[in-house]
Amino acid sequence: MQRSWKFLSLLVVVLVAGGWLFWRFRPHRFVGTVLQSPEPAYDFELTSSEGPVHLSDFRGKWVLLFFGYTHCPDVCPTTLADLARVMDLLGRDAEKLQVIMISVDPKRDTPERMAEYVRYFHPSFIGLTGTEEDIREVATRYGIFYNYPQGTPESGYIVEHTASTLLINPEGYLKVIFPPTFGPDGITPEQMAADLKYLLRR
Amino acid sequence: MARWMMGLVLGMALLGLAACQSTQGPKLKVEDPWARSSPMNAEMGAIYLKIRNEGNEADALVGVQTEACKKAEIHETYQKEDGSMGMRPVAGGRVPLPPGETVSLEPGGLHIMCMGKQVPFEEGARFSLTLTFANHEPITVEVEVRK
Repeated sequence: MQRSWKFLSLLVVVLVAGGWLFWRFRPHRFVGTVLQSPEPAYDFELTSSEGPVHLSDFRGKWVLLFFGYTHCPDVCPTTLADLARVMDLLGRDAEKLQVIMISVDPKRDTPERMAEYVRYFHPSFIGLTGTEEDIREVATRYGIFYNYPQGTPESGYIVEHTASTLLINPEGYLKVIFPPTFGPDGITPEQMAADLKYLLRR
Repeated sequence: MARWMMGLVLGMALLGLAACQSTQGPKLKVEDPWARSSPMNAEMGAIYLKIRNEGNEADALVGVQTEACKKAEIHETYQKEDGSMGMRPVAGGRVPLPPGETVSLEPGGLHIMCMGKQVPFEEGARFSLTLTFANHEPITVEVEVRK
């Protein structure tokens, strides 16, 4: 009787310890799509309210790229608010991350307008714009679609655009594509922060 | 109690019930109205809320007015095959409200587009919004601006 109890308690300990170890070191499940880019991400040169900005200026940091425009009432404020939330969730790790919004509406989005817009959501966010050719080039290189359908006279035109967020690693390679943070297939800021925490702690 | 009296009481009760039935119709409740906070240099804003149709008749949201916006319309966010997203006014400018269901205006979907913000959409700010319907009297709610 004594021996079987000892054996049983040992088994329980082993199972609990094993379960905990598995849980602690389980492989992380990403909500974003992880890529193995053969080439570095396109090193753009665009304009901020403080002058020209290149992607390579941020070597050594992780960069979260989002394409949007300031006349957008739903998708863009939602994404920026959620990215600000992600920054909060990352705590100290947020220092390793730079969020950049690139305008797909360069006609209306001046560098100053972009700066005022993005900083409202988080003081560290950077907003970039440029010539229509430059914007078209950057978006194409990053696989971002955008289009100007007809608009109403009052609201002006809207821009249809891909709402994914792109993550570039400190070496300048595109690493993860995150789906939008809303809609039926949307991810939550908590899920995005979990993916980022895993990567930022490499 | 005299038989005729009981009959009268019963008749009045049934009449009362019948009266209740005729005012049944659509019974709408607006829940959790909120607006996304956005910088003042963005002229457009978005307002979200839920509408519950507790009645047994269909209705529809047909308009919105508020002093907080030069013009307010009901819009929806849509996604194209290539994954890009856009926004457009809802078909016919109306949102159907089926009986017994809750229709949600939320980020990434239906929303009230505020064109020409007249007040700052700062976190904590409040303003009133009036919703007009096809079969129901207008409902005015207080919208809270959130992050």
